[in-house]
Amino acid sequence: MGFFVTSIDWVLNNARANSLWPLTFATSCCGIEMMHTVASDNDIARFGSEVFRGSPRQADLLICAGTITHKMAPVLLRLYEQMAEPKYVIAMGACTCGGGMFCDYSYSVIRGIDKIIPVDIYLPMCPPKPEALIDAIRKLQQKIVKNETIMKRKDFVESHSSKLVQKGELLVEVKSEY
Amino acid sequence: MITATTLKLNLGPQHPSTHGVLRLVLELNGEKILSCEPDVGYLHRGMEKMAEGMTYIQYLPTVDRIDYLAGCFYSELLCRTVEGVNDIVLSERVRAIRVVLLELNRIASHLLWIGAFLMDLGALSPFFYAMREREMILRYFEKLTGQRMMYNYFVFGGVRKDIAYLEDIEEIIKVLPQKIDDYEKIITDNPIFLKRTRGKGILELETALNYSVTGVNLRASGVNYDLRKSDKLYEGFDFMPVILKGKDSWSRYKARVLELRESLKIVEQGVNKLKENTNFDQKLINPLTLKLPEGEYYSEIEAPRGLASVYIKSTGEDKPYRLKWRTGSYYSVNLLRKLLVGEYLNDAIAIAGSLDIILPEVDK
Amino acid sequence: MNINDLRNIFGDCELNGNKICIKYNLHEFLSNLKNNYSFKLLKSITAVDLGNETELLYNLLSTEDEEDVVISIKVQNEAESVIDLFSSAIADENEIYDMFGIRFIGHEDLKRLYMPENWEGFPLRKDYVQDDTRLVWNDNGDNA
Repeated sequence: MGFFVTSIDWVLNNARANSLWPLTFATSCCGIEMMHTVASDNDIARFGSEVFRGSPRQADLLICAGTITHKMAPVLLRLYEQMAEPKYVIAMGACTCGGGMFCDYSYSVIRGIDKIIPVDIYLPMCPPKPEALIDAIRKLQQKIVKNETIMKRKDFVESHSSKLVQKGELLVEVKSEY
Repeated sequence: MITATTLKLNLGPQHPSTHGVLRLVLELNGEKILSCEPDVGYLHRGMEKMAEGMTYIQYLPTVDRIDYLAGCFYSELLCRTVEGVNDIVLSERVRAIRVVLLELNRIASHLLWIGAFLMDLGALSPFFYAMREREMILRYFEKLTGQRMMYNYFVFGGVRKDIAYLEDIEEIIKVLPQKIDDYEKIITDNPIFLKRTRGKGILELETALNYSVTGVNLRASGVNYDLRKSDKLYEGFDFMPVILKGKDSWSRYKARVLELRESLKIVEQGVNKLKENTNFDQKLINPLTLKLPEGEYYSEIEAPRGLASVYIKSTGEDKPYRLKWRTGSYYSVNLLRKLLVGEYLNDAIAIAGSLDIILPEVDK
Repeated sequence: MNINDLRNIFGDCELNGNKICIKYNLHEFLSNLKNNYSFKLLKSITAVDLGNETELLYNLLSTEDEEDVVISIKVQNEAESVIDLFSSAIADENEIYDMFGIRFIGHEDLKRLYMPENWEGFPLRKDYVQDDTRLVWNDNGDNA
């Protein structure tokens, strides 16, 4: 019985990993490098991302490309909550990893999107080359096949929400059960 | 009794059109637009306030991010202001290097605009063709400076190092005119493209001057105003500003394609000048002890999207007291309040795309 | 265009560097420049915080003669709006209200342009304190 479940799991994870459909979410300069990855010189369609969906209810990968500011943060959270499970997040660019070049003197940039949504892969550089974005997607595919993302997300979400309750500054309501 | 009410539609910050995070709140009566109000600020990073805490050389790499498709223009603006204060005259070779790189940036920016505009209308093939040519230019920049989009190559007094690999530029000059002819064959006289852009989005002269429109949008309405003709950097280069009288979206498309060809001519003249003057000498300002004397300084340049200018007020220290950018896309977004009224919803995206808007220029 | 012509009409303007400083009657001055001297394009409006007062700079261009001119006026908290002469000032005046807190009389729909609706404070003033705890987003109402 356990043999059946694990081999079905293996088939499902491989199917999920090799057909990731991203959402068109591009705020700033990293969005242009995402467009270069879609074009014909560095082709992302050979890794499974055949189309980029326009609506979040039909996508399963959120590549957050670009700076997130104070006004844009509720929009990002709403898009993340509209996506259906299982879903994955790549933080592309230095601005989303930890604030980037705006981390010293800016008054409206959020220093890293992992204050708002849980992140699977961090991809630094300003902006990352298309080859680097393809490398990030390959690493995400290996994580999915080994079943590491879903279990890690549960722990991450529980620890994240308990941090919220303790400190009391963040009032983001993240659910801790599926 | 059947009564009709108007519908408030939100063309939200996230949509598959490639202009960035612009939000339009439209009021519709059926399919006709009654009023349009743009809502900006989703990418406001505080670049003007950041400058008051950094020295000039610390701020220079940040400036490339204001217009990510043509970052050289804003970098050149800041360098030009500082050089004007210290009365530095560039040598012939350094001037030719700057002009060649600026015009290559303009070509890359217009190529991406062609791809994105036609993707808004629903045609996907020209996007892939235009990106193929843009990759040639970006690979040359990566060989020369190490970066594909934000170069940080201009410094106060000159450039970081001498230009090289001129044979790659000659390859671009040889290959590109034939490719642009290929694009024009499938786009310019296409009956579907003509029906969607001819006679739509007409920009009259009085409206354009009232809403402070500059650049290609103004020249496609018949006004002869091109800042490159009176610019000291472009002295000795022979080109013609492109002026059309059509005033609609099709004229704006045709004006940008013609400007592409004129820019190629400028690049060719620049490469010939680089082969003649091989004497590379420049007088760099020491950036660690740079202080602008007390006063107010102003410079302007013709960027791909309109007139761009900078205003610096200094009190004698090594950081500016106030720094302000004037960009072209900011006023194009304001123009949408007037231009979209009375049009149908399907034409609205095409008209907004033909004005060439980029969001970091609006939100700074 | 000569500063002496303008001084004959208005009387109270002086030349400082290459900008013309006036003290009152901004709307009348700009409408005279637009109608009689063909300065039909307003390139930009800039605001500078000088401590106890704010200086506004209006940058005008004439495309027929290819000339430009800079007008400057110092205000405390309110200024006259010029949106009936130049419609590009709708966006400029909203931005100056958002960043400096100056209200424009005659502008019907004055509201913030860049920052969210419920933001407190005017960021580009010299006495603005960067409040770090607000950089983490709080869900107190409907922001989107």
